[in-house]
Amino acid sequence: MLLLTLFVGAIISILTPNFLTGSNLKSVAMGMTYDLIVALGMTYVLILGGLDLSVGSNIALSGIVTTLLLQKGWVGVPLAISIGLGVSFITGAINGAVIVRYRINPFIVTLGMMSLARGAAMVLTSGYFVTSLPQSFLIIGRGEIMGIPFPVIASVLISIVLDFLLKNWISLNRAFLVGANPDYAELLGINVKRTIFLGFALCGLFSGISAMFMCSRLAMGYAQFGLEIELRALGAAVIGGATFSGGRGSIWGTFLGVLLLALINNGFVLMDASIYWQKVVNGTILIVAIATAVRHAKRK
Amino acid sequence: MKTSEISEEKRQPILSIRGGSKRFGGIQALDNINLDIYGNEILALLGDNGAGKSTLIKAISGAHTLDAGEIYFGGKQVQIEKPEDAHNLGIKTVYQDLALFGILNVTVNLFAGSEYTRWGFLQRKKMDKEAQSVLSQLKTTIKSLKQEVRSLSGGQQHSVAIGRGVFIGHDPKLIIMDEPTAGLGVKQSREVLRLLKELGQKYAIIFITHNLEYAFEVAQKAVVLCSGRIVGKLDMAEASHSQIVSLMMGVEQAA
Repeated sequence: MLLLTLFVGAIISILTPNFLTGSNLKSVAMGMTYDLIVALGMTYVLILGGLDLSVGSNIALSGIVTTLLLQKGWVGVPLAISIGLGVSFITGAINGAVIVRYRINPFIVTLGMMSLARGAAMVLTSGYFVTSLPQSFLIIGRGEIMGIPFPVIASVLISIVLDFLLKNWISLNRAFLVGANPDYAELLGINVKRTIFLGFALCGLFSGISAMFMCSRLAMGYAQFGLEIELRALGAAVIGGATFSGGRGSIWGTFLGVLLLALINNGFVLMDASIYWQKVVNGTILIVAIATAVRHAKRK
Repeated sequence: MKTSEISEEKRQPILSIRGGSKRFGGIQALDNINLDIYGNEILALLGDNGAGKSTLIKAISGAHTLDAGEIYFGGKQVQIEKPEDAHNLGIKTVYQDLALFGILNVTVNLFAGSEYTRWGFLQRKKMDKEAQSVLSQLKTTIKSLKQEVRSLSGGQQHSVAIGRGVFIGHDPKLIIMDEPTAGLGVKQSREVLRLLKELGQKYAIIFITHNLEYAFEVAQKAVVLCSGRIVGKLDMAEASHSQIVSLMMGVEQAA
């Protein structure tokens, strides 16, 4: 996995002389950030044996809520961000509650939420951009430390902390048991419903964090933000070792998966390939990754 | 109850069920069950398929709740509504299908649900060390604790399941073994029986089996279920093979 990523990176840097420039690497890193944060939440949900298709819509909705509050000047920046994150958490929690309470397949529930949250974001804005945001909000996405954008630093820190907690903190670590076999986990006294419920809420919250950086960096809220990010997040997590049958996945693997997709996309941009081809390639990678994972699991 | 009267026990039972009943739709799975289980003894729970054995142990281990009836544990009435309640009381169950997580490793399986933690953080080294000692108590050698459990042999998997069921977490007071010899070869079955006998000297054990030979070999008492009712309570020293079979078939009514 690491080797593959390095290999692709090497090929791209040979093919395209602009790849290894500071500004290009910064744009690769920035482009990764939003996907990475979402993919972290997605990885956790996959480990639990679920999946979340509503992450992109959740980005749009929570971003719109925060930026609208700021545009109208109703609340200060910290409160507006808190409310936006709260919306993302609740959106995820609703997914989790419906899945756990009615035992409905996460695919169906989050597919519904995907439409619902996107629709709500459209209703709130009538499809317009939400702009005129205060400078103190924009700094979150645009600030830099030693030339490294805040969101990049934040996403790496979040990854490191989550990696540690997933491996060592019992409340998160039990996701592996729940995902590997929820019935057995239940028999062993693990609160499966609560674990799944909180997992989806957490995944929602990660979408919200991604949304805050996105809206701040791009200086607006927009109902089309986060479109198809669920596909990239799923692809990255699966490339990184997560499976749809649950019980598997790692933060480090997902990180490499996101990096790999970002490198490939960047290569396309540098080689002046059409943006439409990127989608073709992303979709292909996702299918190949899943097919490989399934075949690998069966062979064992 | 003439043929199968058990002499009045002076000791206090570890677990008692009084009037336990459970219904699934139109089927009376358990019907007015009265049962006492004492320490340091192995009670064989016998019955044909569908007699209610599984339902009864699930009610004790918290996977099902009784519709009616009381459960007393150590003389006190208790509510066992979920597996956690049973765990906390020290009721340990080794399930017939072993309930192992195939894609997870040996240590994780052994400690699933009873992990060692400090301030909520897993103590991996402590668990690995304990896992080694549990496996050696069970006289089982496994190449690596990091191995996926599905890559182990049948006997090794049984050891992991029994190790988890008996030695990890709260101290056991009552151990329920649901068909612990199912799917094992003769040699491995003997190993499990030997272990059962050893455990029976220290703990109360409910041993579910289809194999009457095994029941006679390790159990001191037996309870025979038929169509959700207890049709016989026997002292194994005095019971005969054919008597148990006819009870199981519902031919003879002991009560």
